[in-house]
Amino acid sequence: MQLELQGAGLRGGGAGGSGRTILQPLALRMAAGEQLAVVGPSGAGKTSLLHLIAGARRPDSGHVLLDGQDPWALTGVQRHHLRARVFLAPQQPPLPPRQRVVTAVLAGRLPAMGFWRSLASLFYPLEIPAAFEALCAFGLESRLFDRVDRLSGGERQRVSLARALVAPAQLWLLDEPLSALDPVLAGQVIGVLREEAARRGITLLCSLHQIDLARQHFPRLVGLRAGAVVFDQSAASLQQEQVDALYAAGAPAPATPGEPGTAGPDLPAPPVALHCR
Amino acid sequence: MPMVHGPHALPHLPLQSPRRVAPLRPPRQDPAWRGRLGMAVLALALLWPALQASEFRPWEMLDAHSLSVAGRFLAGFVPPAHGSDFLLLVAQATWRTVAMATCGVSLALLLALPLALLASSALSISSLGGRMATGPAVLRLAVRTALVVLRTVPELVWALLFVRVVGIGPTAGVLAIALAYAGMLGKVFAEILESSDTVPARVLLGNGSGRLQAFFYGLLPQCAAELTSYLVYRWECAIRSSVVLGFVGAGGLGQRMDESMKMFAGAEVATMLMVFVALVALADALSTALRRNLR
Repeated sequence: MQLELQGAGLRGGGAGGSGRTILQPLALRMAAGEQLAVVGPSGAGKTSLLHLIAGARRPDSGHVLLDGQDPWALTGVQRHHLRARVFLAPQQPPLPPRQRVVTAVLAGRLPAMGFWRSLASLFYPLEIPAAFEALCAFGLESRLFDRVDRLSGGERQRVSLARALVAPAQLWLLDEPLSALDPVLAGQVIGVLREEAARRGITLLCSLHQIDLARQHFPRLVGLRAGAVVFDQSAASLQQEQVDALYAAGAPAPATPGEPGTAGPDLPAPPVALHCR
Repeated sequence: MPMVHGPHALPHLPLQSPRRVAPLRPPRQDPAWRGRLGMAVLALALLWPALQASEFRPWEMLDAHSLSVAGRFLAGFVPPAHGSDFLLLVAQATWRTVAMATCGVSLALLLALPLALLASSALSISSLGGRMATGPAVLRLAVRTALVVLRTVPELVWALLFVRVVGIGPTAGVLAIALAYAGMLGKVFAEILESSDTVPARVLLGNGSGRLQAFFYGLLPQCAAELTSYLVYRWECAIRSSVVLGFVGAGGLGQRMDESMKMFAGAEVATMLMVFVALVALADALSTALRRNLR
């Protein structure tokens, strides 16, 4: 899938875009099957950029074009069909703890399954081979019938990525896919993802905070700082000074509100709940 | 911070100021005291007119006439009626009560699930990109209003209504429980869906799944235990309330109890009260066991 951002920007805080800028209007172009890593310090807007592309956030300015189509110019139903062709894996694996791994993986396939088939699959998993194959790619085949709450953090993250392998998508947006993995495993996992994406002609956009992994594995790097693109060039041509400048302390990076795990420590006491049950 | 046991555990901490200039006097009163007293007085002042309006005169229970009537009725309680014909009758009535409660709750569940899915904003696709669209928001409000109406009318009133429509018998009770409990189940189910972790379902929606698929794969695994536990608790409530519904002609244990009471047959009332208590205790034990197994 081709991807193009035309001056697409995001502002925080409610509708109408009255809040502070999360993403400066930015331009980005990816050819079908291209692979790219977005790097930058925490709070630079990497997650917001991925949400923007996935159609989970509406741009406050400019356009996002997926294969030349602007999701926000489509009807709701068409936009939802377009969402099925994009796979977004959030940083926190979004897996229900009581679910079994096989079901959690097959959930990635839902857009391609009819409703009745997906309902039947809850009682007896219909595509066990597909789930098994996806788990094999990440060395988790022995966990097929375990419950998600028995998995370690790194295993959950890989299950969440195994979903990508069964999803009917042509664009993978992976948000920090290696954050819970040790260096060796991280190298293997990113290798599998790149290989599979290349084999299937899937466009791969990955946000990474490990700059070394990104330089090592990705042909093209986009540096994001304070919601703006600082560089967009081949990994080979990237200079160490550019990397140092990207992560240098100084200009405060805007925090992205509404991200999981960013709740402030000084929350007021919750109101007394009225349970009329 | 580690637990500190007694003043000796912190020997190295210096005192903030070794000597106070002026001797400190302890506060003369708790600053919160005045507010508390005020609230208590206010509550009593508001309660008094309510007691007057409700003609609450408990001492009337203690005058000679009431005491003798109650005494005769209560004296009839021992021994409880235990003729085999009567026990068979009670067993049938009990079974009918349980059946009425179970059918009513099952019907209520069938009604409540779609309503809860419609009323809950957890599965909104239009709110993925920001604010919920107007059409779905209006629909949600309408469904919520319907649930409120179903819930506000007590099942007793529904039963009186249905006794007029379908005549005296358990059908009226089943329908009454179904409608009133559909409102309760629908409202609480919608709340459970919204208050559970909706991230997995929203991620599935964001990746293009349908609403019902996202419900079954993302939301239901999160809250199935809570939904079932509440359903079982409601079933227990329905058993209690189906006894009450019997009093207005919906059949079962309540109707038998009503008849015996009108005839001042204390022995029969005693037996049925005992059966009733045992039934509710059984339902309670069953629902506790079921809920424990869901964890």
